[in-house]
Amino acid sequence: MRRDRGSGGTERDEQFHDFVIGRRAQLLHTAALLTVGDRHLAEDLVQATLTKLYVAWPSFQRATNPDGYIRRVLVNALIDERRRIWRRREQPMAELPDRPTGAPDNADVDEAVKQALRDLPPKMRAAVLFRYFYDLDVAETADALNCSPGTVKSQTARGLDRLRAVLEKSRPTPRDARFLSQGATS
Amino acid sequence: MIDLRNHLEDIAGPASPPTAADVDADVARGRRALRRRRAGQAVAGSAFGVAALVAAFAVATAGTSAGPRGSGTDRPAVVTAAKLVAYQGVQPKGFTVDKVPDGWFVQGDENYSLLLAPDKAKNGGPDVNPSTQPLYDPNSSAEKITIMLAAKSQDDPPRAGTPVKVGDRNGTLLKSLQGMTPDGPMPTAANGDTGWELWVRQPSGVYMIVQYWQGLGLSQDQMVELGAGVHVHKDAEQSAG
Repeated sequence: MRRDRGSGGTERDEQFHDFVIGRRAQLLHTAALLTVGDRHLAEDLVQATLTKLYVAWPSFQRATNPDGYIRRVLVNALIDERRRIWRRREQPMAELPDRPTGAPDNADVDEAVKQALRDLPPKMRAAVLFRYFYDLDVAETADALNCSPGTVKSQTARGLDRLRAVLEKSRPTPRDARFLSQGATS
Repeated sequence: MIDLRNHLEDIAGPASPPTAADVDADVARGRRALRRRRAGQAVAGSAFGVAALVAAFAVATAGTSAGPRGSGTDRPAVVTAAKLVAYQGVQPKGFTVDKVPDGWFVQGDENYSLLLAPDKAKNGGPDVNPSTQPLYDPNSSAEKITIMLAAKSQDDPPRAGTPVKVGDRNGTLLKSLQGMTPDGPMPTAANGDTGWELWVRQPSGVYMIVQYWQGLGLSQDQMVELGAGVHVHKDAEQSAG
């Protein structure tokens, strides 16, 4: 068996290599959600997360809950992002262009949901996504966010309320629906 | 709420398997980070031997320190860089620099970015925790000057700024937006400065960016002057995006 001496191909390298092949796509998927579709930042988070995992590989391998360990590192990377090089990047579409008023279409709703997610503080956003999208339980989410179960519940509820409000606001009203219908038949 | 789940699915996009190059790069980054960490631990260990000397020096120079009074906080002192001087050290690979602020050095050097930091970041002593004192963290741009290429996902500066001539190239000087933290807006420098970004279009069409952290004390002319002395080499790479 090869020894891990920090140079050359090592057992750690081989294990980590296999781990990346198996888990990177899912990590990037989660990171894309946590960064609300910012692909560059999501890639950045994944790279930071994987680097930390490599450095702490022996600890990671001893972890009783590896998935929880990965989520915790990913969330920490998200929160630490403000200190990294691209901390100041513009939020894509932070300033929406002027557009004609009228019934919202799917693109409008998509953008409204994205903006609402961006406006959530990172931990609240993560709580909503872990609980609502990934169906983690409160304890698992609390572990990922390094906070109490009570905080998870309150953060998730507040975050979902904000998103629901955006969806309700973006939904076509009966009047909009009438105009849409007229437009379709004229 | 099915609507919301559908929107989230769209935002996340498909989960594509990584390329072999992605995986190799991840392994290489991890190995580099581990080497840095081990080297840092070795330095920290040897630093114990001189800790008393460092402490004595700190006491002797306390009256002239630029840091905050009463060091009950571990927040780093505001760093000011008032003069540019010719860079005398070993030149990095992806980017080279003609000038740096007086008393600064190259803290981080890889093909994706070049990090300039004040000399005090060279040896923080055994008690420094880079995760809470980003000045000492070679992966953090806080309190430093960062040179990089625009990400592949960015074609132009994100908003209008001041057009400037950077050497023989056209550039744009942008005032950085105030940083945000999970707890709200990040405090600005004492003078309200939020930092600056100098975008300089390269012959390839890609922008080179010099990011100046808030409170560095450089004038706009100095930012442009430093930027004019940055040379982008063929090894410099754009980050993914």
